[in-house]
Amino acid sequence: MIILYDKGTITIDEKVNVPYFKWDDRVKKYRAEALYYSEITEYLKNSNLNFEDKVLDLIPCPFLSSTIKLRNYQRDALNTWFWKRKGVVVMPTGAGKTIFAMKIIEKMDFPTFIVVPTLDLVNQWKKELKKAFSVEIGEFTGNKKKLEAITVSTYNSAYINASYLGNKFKLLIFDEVHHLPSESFRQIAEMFVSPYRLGLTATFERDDELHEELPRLIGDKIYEISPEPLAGEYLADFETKIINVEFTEDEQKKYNDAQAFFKNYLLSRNIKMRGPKDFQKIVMRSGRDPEAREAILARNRAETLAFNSENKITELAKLLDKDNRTIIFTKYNNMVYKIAKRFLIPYITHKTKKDERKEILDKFKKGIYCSIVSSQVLDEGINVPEANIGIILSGTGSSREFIQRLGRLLRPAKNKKAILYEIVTRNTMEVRTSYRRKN
Amino acid sequence: MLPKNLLTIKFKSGTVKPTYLFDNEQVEEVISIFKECKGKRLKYLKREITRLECESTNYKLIRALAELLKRKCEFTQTTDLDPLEIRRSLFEKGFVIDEEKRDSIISSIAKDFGVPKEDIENAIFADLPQEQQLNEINSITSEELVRKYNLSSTQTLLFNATEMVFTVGDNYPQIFRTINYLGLMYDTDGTEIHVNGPVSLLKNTKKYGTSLAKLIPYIIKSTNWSIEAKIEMKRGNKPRIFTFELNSRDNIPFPDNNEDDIKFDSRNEEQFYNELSLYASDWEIRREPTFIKAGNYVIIPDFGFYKNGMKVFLEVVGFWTREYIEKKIKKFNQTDTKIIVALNQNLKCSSLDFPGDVIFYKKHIPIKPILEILKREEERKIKHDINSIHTIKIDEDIINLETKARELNVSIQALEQTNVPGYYIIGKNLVSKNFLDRLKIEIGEKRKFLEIKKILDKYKLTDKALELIGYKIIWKGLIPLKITETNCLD
Repeated sequence: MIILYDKGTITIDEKVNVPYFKWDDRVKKYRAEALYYSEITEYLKNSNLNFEDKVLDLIPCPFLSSTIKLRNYQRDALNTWFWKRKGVVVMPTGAGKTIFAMKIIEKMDFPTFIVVPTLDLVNQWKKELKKAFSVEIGEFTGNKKKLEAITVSTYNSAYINASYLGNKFKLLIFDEVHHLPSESFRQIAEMFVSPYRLGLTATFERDDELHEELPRLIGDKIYEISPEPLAGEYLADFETKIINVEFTEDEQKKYNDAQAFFKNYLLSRNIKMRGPKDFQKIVMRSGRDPEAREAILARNRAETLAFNSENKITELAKLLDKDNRTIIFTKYNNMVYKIAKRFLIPYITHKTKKDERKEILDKFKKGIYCSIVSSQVLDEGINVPEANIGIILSGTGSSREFIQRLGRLLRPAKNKKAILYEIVTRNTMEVRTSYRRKN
Repeated sequence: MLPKNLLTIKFKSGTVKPTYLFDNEQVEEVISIFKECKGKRLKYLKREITRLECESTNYKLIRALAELLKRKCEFTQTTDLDPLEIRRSLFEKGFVIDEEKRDSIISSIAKDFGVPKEDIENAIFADLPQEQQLNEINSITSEELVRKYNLSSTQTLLFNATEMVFTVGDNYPQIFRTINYLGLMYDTDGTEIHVNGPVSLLKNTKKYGTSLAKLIPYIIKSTNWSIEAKIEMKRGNKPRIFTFELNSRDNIPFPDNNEDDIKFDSRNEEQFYNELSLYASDWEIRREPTFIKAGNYVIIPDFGFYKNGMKVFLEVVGFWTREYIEKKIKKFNQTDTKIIVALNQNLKCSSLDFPGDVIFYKKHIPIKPILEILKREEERKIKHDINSIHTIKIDEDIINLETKARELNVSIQALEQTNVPGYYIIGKNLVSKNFLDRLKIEIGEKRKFLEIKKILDKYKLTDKALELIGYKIIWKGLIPLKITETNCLD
């Protein structure tokens, strides 16, 4: 009996009864999901069945060693992970997830595939890995397809090529693992045979509850440490300040009109808004019901007004200071452009090209720029060192986003007090958003 | 293909279908907006499209059409300055809070670049997509856009497909090649082709939806196609499975395929096709006519010859590798369908390797052996038909030979050569003995040929009928005058 890897699945060429397998009449073979590879081989061994395992086609791995030293909590996490060699580790941003993962790679000493959300993170991981192990690091992305014993990829590329990559690595690592449970990305975990798996995140929970899929895909949450015990010693201490601003008269009027329009629609259709699901229902209606669409447009107008209120800009001007390194966050690109143009502050959006982004971050690091304004691209993983002031000009109310944004400021740097400002328009739903996040 | 959120669909008792476009009205409106916006910036174009969306009953349609049209357009930057360089110069002087100070920075940089202040302000974001200027709309007619929209909608719906079953009338090689290329798997009963992927066996998955969507253009390019797909979509908050059905008879406007010409793999095959069309003109010759199931594979023969329900297939094997031939032989041994193989003599395989007829050729595929095989097949078919006709009952008194042959799925020759008990062949018809008896009664005492002729014409019979019921015609010169009895019945 031979077991083989076939495009994200495992096949057996004989008629035997093994769990996870199902008869595939198309090819006259038994077939199972690649995810269950270790369970399958374990079962076959325990049943004393004779089988030839041709599933793995591993990339030859050089001897891996480094001089990485772990902090106490990282060592605890490592010991816990080694118990099952599977599972998710939750650590705040800036607590050294990359270092921790690299120590695991070193100790396992197996071909390893690392999946990260963005190309910037691919570059960042590659740089750190190369520094630690002094070996060639592979990259499997839209730009480059070069496999090495340690290869870094994006969720997108890994998803598209999972059926080709799935049997080449023994250790599978997901950075920002909260992305994994989405309907498409989870297939990476399902189509890889890798028996050893590690997930890293600062924000385990998802609003849509899909994190409940993670135990099946890479193992349970095995270790979690919150920012509080690390603050001061390993993470810069910070304080948050909320600044309330008023609408301008004109904005208030427009805001009231838009809100009234939306509320009237709800009344006329007898819809009660209890949560995001109810709003989703109106969105569904909008395809057929032009009034529903108008109502949504009105609500968006109100929201845009609240986020982009002119007085926020005035307030922002007061907070800018050349002695600080300041990062300004805002949800809307229009707001980014407005601030960039008005104050001549370099900006980064998802449309900013890689080279320009790198140049801006480098200059920020060197102090040539003392502030940056950005929409959501800085949320995850990009090392933006030495920022001591954060200003949130708008937010969407997701607690995950909030933590990630905080994390951006928490990188330990020369003894500085970090402050996070949140500028909120008074008497709008935004106050509620801000309030909800803190609880 | 469209962004998923711009797809307009209709649900109806467990089925789902894109809302297809048949007329050009909205399309023309969108095209005219694009034409009006030529030379203007994308953000301006977007505003105009939004205005049309608000007036329309289906904003998604307008936005989708604009999206498709945008892909046919060329946009260019509105400044000769390098926006990146301008930003670099500006931001290195920033930040500024004081507006006057800002103004002086802009002025000094304008001076450095030797341009007016407005040019600097304009250049800051000039490389953003929305600041680009619509320069050129590549020609597309409203009809083409309708067709493109319909295809894109179908493909976008298919993104959510878990599996698909289809039938096609031709274009087999391209379709099967594409299925393999896309990493899909198929299963077939010889007519319907069922496609999904390796993991589909283990659970419902939309993973192969994108690949299934990519197969659609090849299917609708063929003649007489039909598609049935399982579509997974959320209704309320639960995923449900809907059926999507479409076929060529629905006459949805789809992009034309303009490659109607028969394409040949080689000059050799083309020459063969032309010669054979000449010598076997009563046979219909089709290129890559069908697919034949062979174990886990399919064979798409190069030629099919068709006549009166007879099917003969021919596969031409030219210069190929050993492995290729071995795989081919393995496939051919897994099907019951007979396929003639025309083998290049340079290949080292004996005729015994293949289960059916084998013809060798050096340079050209020879016509003669094919004609012989077709003739043999025809004779075999006639023999077989004759045997089957004996067991068949005919109810009609008079029936056209051709009609009956078609009905019995036999050749006319076979029917002519058959002795159907109680029936005679008169002209192009089969006529029953009982009917002839009644004809004799109808003739009765009439003897004038003109009267008799009327009766014969009524039943579309020839003079032969008279002979069969015991009359002969008396001629005066060249004119038939009357009939008289003979004693030759039976």
